[in-house]
Amino acid sequence: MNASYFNKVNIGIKTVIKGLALSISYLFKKPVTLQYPHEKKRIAQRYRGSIRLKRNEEGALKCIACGSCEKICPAGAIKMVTVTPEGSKKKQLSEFYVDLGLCIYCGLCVDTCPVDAIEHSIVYEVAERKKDGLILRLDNLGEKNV
Amino acid sequence: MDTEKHVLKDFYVNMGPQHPSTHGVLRIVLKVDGEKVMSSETVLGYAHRGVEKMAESKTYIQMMPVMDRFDYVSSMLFEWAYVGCMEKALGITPPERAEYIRVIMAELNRIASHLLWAGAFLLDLGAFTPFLWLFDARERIMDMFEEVTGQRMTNNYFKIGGVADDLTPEFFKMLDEFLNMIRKRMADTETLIESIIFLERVKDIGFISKEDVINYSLTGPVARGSGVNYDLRKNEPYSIYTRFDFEIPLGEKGDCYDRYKVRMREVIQSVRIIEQAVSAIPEGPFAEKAPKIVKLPEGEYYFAVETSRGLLGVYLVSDGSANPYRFKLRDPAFSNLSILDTMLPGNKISDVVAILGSIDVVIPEIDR
Ligand code: SF4
Ligand code: SF4
Repeated sequence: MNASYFNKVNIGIKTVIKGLALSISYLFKKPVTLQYPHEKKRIAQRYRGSIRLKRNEEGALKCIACGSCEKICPAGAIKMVTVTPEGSKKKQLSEFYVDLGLCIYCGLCVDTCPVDAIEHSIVYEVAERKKDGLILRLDNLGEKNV
Repeated sequence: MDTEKHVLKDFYVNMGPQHPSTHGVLRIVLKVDGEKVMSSETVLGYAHRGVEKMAESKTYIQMMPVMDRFDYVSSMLFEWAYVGCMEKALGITPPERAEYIRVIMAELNRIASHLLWAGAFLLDLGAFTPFLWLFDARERIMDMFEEVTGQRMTNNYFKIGGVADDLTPEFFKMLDEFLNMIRKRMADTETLIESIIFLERVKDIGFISKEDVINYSLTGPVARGSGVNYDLRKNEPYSIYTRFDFEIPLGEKGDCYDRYKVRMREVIQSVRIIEQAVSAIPEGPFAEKAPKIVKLPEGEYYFAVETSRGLLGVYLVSDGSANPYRFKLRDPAFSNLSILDTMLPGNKISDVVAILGSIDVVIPEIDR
């Protein structure tokens, strides 16, 4: 225990007081914390949430079942089943799966779609009790994507 | 009595893989004598995903989101290196506005990364308040990213020939607010932190000499903390960095304190770059037309950028097909970490946290 030790303790106490004064000044500022489930954040319009298929004015799916999104998806989250009705040359969508458990929300499928038929919603709360619930199908692609 | 038997020899302490101060799955095996570290061994590979091999079976576009997932705290800088490499191969120059947007985004990302680092570093050393202050500032950057890129992290925003979308008026409003508060927030943090309690813990430990910087090929704030003036933005300017007026902060001694100080001062320099870029940003298109299916001409391509941790180089070998023939990263954190084992011996266990923190490693980038 020498003089320099006490000197340091002295300086330490002084700086602690100075710091305390500064932090106390922050006490009177508006809180920045959100109480999450009760308060929700503003979500940006461009937010890349869960995937959904777009419909045209008549309510029919815009998708032409070209398969580009399935091919480009780096996570393999999109699977589709297509049928070609008799007498028609065009393929039609019979089932469309998006596995949100695999999706990395990268937006490549949206970028690549030639007819702008697929988009991100701004839904970010996609927790489920069962893994199966994470798989979106044609009939519930709307359900989770308010 | 035979005391020999009771003497502990070669006592090992496992720091990690689940240690709060390694910030990821890094394991350091410390051989200790009492509280003193005798030698250490860094064990890597817990988050290894074989990305470089994986790249060979993915298309060039499919690799874009993967670039975000190396260094997730400065993801857009990683995107830039990859996109820049492909642009070089394809001979595409992004339009003016895109270059400005890229600089603004990259510098914001650098700030976000340094803020996260400073918050976590100070938290490791026992200071909780700056963690909250700096994270508040970082949160605003994340909100800006969400507004423009659609995602808070893993942005996937840079595209070949430009960026994915234009900046919005809302973004400029948020940016203004941020620029107004950040200088004061940094100054407040430094006033609060730089007390003798903090200085005693970070000063004069973890020295890195200039020779070691060169021998271990360290880059970024770790090298600049030792006084090596090497920053790609100045030394080999890419994009439009020659147009901005900014300084490269340098340390003197190369101890933990110098590295801390360099990063804190870099934040202010990045703020200066952003301010200049915002006032000079031209109107115009935000992206050049790029091919939908990317095939690079046969050959080897290399492009490097300065990330928040140092020099990041992307090396692509193309055989003309839709997948890279070889994809290699020269990433900063891996080289920077390599010096750790020579720095630790002789220090106390509690200093290991400070020394490791001052190097600023991100594990997924090292274990790729
Ligand atoms: S956002 Fe990305 S990961 Fe998700 S479905 Fe689309 S392409 Fe696949
Ligand atoms: S890319 Fe578009 S049109 Fe083609 S299958 Fe996907 S959603 Fe349908």
